[in-house]
Amino acid sequence: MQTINKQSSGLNLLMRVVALAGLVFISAGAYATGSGPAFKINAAHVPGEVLVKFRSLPGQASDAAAAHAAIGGQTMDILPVINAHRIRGTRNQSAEALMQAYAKRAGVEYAEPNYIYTTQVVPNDPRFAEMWGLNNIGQTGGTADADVDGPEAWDKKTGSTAVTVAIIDTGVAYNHADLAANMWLNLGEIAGNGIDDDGNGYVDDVRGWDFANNDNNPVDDQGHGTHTAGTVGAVGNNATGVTGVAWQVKIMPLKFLTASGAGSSLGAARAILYASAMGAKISNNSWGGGAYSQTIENAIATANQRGMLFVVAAGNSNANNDTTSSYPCNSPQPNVLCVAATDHNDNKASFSSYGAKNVDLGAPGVSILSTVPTGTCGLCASSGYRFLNGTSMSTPHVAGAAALVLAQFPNFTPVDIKNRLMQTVDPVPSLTGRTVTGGRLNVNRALTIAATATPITVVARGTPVNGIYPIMVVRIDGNVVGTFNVNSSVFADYALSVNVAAATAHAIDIVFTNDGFAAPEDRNLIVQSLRVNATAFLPGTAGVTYDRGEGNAAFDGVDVLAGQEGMWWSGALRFTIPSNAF
Amino acid sequence: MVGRFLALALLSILNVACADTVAPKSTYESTMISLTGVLIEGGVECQLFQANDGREYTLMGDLKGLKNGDKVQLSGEEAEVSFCMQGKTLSVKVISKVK
Repeated sequence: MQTINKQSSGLNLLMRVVALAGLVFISAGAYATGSGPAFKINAAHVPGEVLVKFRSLPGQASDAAAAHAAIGGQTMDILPVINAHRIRGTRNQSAEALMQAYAKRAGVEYAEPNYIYTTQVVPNDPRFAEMWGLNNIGQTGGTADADVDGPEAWDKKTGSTAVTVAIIDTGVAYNHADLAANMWLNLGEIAGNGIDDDGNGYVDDVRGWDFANNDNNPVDDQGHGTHTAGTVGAVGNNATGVTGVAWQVKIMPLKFLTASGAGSSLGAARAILYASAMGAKISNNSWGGGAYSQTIENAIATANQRGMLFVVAAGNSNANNDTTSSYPCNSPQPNVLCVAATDHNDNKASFSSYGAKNVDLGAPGVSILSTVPTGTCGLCASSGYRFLNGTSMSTPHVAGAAALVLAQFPNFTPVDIKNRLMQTVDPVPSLTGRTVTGGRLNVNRALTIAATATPITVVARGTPVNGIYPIMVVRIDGNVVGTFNVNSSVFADYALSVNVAAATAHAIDIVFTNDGFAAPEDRNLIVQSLRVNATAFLPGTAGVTYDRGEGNAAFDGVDVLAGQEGMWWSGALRFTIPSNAF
Repeated sequence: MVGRFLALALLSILNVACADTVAPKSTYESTMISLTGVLIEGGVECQLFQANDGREYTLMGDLKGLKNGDKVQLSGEEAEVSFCMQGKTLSVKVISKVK
């Protein structure tokens, strides 16, 4: 593996480490005293945060305290030697506003954004340079960066063997040199003993199942399934052939299409049910037909209940799926994610079907290089690799991206993954009005937590002892984001604004820190509700647990009763807030 | 005896068909059809075929090395689902070149 830098040439690894620590100092872009009116920072930076160096004025201490008081800011860190402060606003100011405010003060030497630097991870697979869909540098005559930003994404996550993707297709060449290490195995089954060891209804299904021929050998005798499998998860950085969107993943081969490529609704439904029952959280479905099948629909609905995302191709008819039904793309189930195809210029592929209501997003699907079997079959090739076109090829780009998202956010539901992939597309004109999102997959953005200023309000009151009111600390995902002196015996709002990842579930803790837990130190903190944006959450309801502070630090729900609103001992309430509240 | 068995079997099949209350949304019926026409360009993941009556199908299965421009006679079954995803698809059972 090697790393290259796209956004900032010359940034070395040391700088990257420093950047990750949240403290990068460069002079370019600093806002000098006397700069002009409102401006916008054009490079990626930490929202609501600036880096400021204060001058040492003759006969005076640093201007920091006075500046903070006047502007409304606080020092979060100080970089020694350079004596630069990492500052956040206390009034939810933008980084731009903070920079302008601090730079105007005589005691400030410079103020600048806290820039975010990224690196790109490039795998050593020898044919990676031909995979324009993952990294388009114009190598095929197309437009640079009309791709899914694979290298940028791999800087954040390359995959996880804890994530299983079912390939529901013609089977998979599971011994292929570029796939073998990523193949799923059913550890509950003993090979060749003729017994259904795991009791799932299939005997010796160690590698998956062949529903077309009803046997336990889902090997690919056509080539199509192996191609989709390679795009999802060919082993990355193994100095062999190509790489998948996910370098590490478990591929579950389920064959229901015959060697000629056709299959039945019943076979498809059986494969979907098998996948979702055996732990696949994502399935790739590069197939369709047009006619609605209640049997398939019921299988997809069951898969949704079991937590499996169903990624499906839009079709190759250049048809509007909103007016010409394409099934299962048009399935109304919430776990269905339907994919159109784009080319190396971010145009909709000429053949790709579309639909502003039924097709969710686009992904590369023209001249896609991936794995195929080496034997004799419809799409076999002696090299083990070939280029293919189709929405069958765009779909596994999205399934692979879903695998990376799930690796990064293991608690995501199918709908969470779907939302994340849809909310982070790159808008492209060719898909505007032709897909739900109007955009093409961007894996990097899907893995990047887009922080959004989110208003959070705790409605609480306190009862003092010896004139001392309770102190309430608010944590999000374990990080302290606010501390309040609850100095009112009637309910009042204690509000703050926090930059947190949108469309992502978060745990918010309300911690009572100074009870003392001994008479007469028996002050109380009473929490009536927690509001996130406009949604209120109440103690004593589902998703709220309690740690009374007995020392085991477990949010075990002890002492929480329906409607209970108080914390009578030191302890904490944990609100597990669903992704749709952010 | 055989006649009675066949009659019962037929009644049983009819009974199952009548008892089927699933909404008939699926229009798929597997039927073998024979056509004459020409292999044409435009297939994305599968070979495209235009019958003499103008209907177009994508083809799956062993096409015996035949290519675009070849006039062919074929027999096949309409596929319920496939990876062609381009109009109707025939799973070809028999195909031969014609003059």
